[in-house]
Amino acid sequence: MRLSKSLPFRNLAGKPIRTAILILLTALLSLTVFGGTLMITSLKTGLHSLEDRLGADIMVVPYEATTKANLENIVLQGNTGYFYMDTARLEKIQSREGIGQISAQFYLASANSGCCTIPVQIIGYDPDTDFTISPWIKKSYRNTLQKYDIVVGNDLNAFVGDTLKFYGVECHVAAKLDKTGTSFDTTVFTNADTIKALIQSSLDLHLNTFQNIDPDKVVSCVLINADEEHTPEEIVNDINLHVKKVKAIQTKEMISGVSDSLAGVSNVISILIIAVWLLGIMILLLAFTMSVNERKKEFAVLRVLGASRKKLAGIVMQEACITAFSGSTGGICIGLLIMIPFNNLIEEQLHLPFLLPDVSQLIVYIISAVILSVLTGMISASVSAFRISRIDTGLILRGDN
Amino acid sequence: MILKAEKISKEFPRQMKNANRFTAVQETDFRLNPGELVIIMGRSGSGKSTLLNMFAGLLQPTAGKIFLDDKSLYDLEDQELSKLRNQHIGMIPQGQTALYSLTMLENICLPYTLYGEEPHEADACALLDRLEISHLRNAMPSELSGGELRRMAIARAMMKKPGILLADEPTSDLDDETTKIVFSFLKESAHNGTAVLIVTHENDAKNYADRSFRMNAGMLCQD
Amino acid sequence: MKKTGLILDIILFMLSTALCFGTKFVFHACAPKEDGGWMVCHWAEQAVFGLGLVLFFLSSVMFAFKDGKTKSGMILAMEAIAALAAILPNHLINLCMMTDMRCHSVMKPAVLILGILIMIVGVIAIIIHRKENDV
Repeated sequence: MRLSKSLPFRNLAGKPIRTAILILLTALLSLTVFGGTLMITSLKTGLHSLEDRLGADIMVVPYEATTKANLENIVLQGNTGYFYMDTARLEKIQSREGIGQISAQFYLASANSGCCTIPVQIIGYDPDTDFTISPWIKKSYRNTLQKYDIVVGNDLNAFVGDTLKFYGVECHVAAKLDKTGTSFDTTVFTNADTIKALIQSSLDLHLNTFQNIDPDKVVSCVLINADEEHTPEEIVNDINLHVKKVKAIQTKEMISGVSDSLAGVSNVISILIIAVWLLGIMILLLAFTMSVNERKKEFAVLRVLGASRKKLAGIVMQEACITAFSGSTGGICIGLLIMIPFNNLIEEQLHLPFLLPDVSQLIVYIISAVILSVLTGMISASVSAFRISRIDTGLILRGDN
Repeated sequence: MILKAEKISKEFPRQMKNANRFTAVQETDFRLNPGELVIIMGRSGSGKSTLLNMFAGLLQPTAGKIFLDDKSLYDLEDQELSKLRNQHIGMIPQGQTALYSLTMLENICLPYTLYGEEPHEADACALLDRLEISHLRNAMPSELSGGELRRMAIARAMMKKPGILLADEPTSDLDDETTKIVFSFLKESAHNGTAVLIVTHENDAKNYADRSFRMNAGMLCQD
Repeated sequence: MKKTGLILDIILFMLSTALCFGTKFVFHACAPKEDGGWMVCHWAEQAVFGLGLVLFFLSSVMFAFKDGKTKSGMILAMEAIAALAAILPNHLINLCMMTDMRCHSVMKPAVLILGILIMIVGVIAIIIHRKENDV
């Protein structure tokens, strides 16, 4: 019966409601700091991931695309859409000065992805010139994509070996990409040959909103990286001035809206964390003080029985440590239960890229949140511990006579 | 064990008519020998409990020294003094002094468990038997009467067979029968070699005492 | 002990009710298609609802029994059903194409969490009810 070790436990168990309130309070603290930090980090990771995925300085799209089937909606919001321009424009753009890397992409939206009425965005790239998608696909698939091979984003419920039908054409899933937390997670990627076949099929079935196009003579957008002597801004201006019916956009500008909202959300969360934390510390301070004041006499009795001042303080600190530890563990479990299974829902609600950090980083956050909560609990309790170690035993024991 | 006080006195800071100090215990010498039962009587506020707390190592006298055998209590560090109190001084404080989250038996074993020592449960049971509360060993303090709680406090003070037993009003608000049980137990402890000092209002206590003192406005005089 | 057991039974009842009717009315799967037809996830929802009804029935009937062993047996059955419900969406019955759709982002995690919670509370309840019998 190692009661000395369990005395703080027994004290806590003896007052279940007070203990439950203390545990709930620390759970709330750790939930806010853990959930909040995880949220901010996931948003930041999502933004980086989006920057990586765009992978080019400049995007050039047909002028209509900037108004009608908005390019930003496709790239950032995950809406589906497609638009085309003549390959002649690509050639014109290619001839401009200052272009380092250039590659065309082809867009198409599936009318029906085979199970649900939700259309899927299909992006085709030219394997010969591509510099944005191939490096990313290589992480999941080392071979070259054959005709009718597709690579699916992480949020698509299809797996390697599955067959998906687009406009009556059966495509074979060659690889599934890692999660990016962006709209690319619901996109299907394929090479230029395959997407041209798909576009042709959509035209044959009269399901494409464009009717008089030749898949071999159109592209949807052009991605450009500036060479070392030119800035992306110069090239954008140059293209917008000299190439008709197209619009060149700096990807940085496209993302700036996203990063602005992200900064806004992060600020709100940070303020929330600080507010909850300050309030929590104050309530904890009060709760520990009340809990110790209420038991002053019990502490005086322990002193009479031979507990040193240090031991009394130790009991208070151990109680705080136990409640803070169990509370923060609970809070983190709740946080994990919300953030991990519901991360898709959060992404959807925020309309922002959202990518959870990897396991090792997650463990670091968990441990830090526990340490921070336990420390907060112990700091709040230390005032009471100090006071109880200075009690005037005689005065307290005389109190009730 | 011998408890010896040399020229001890205690003053408290308090605003008075002529001075800003109030003398609770005037300079006094005292000696408590093994095997004797000594009582101190006196009115409320006469300084009895202050004296007892000083003997227990809980309240430092303003002047003078208190020795347990040859150790000067207040020259020890708090941790040493606490350990000494745990091992050699049993104290029965005033009022109800149970820890409400522990059972009666756990309360009685506290002097051991506080220092991580294995309690001698057989001794605890024997004490409970002697004080006629063994059937309540697993009861929680909230289920016990005042008399039962007081007997629990006595058993707890005696648990480590201390050399010195200090009791502050051990029979206040107890019925006659329980008072008798308590006094005869304390007398028996003195017989077994413990030095017992009781602060009480009870006139009957004199029948059990080897020596008795009276405390009057901080002055300790032999009766 | 009896009181703790009763509290756990009530929690189990609440969780079962949440799983059963929540799946149908709160965190349900994707809405019907424009033509009124259902997507595949609807059948997963129906199956979870069915399992939820059994859980709801077992957890309510449990209040009629006093014997700890009987209760433990019933909770044991609930454990298996809850486990089945938890893995049903997308593992036993396919959900929709995109995992950012409602059936994936709302129904699947909600059913999973409720299923796991029922299993955890169930294990604690079984331990408590068996102790009740020992006393």
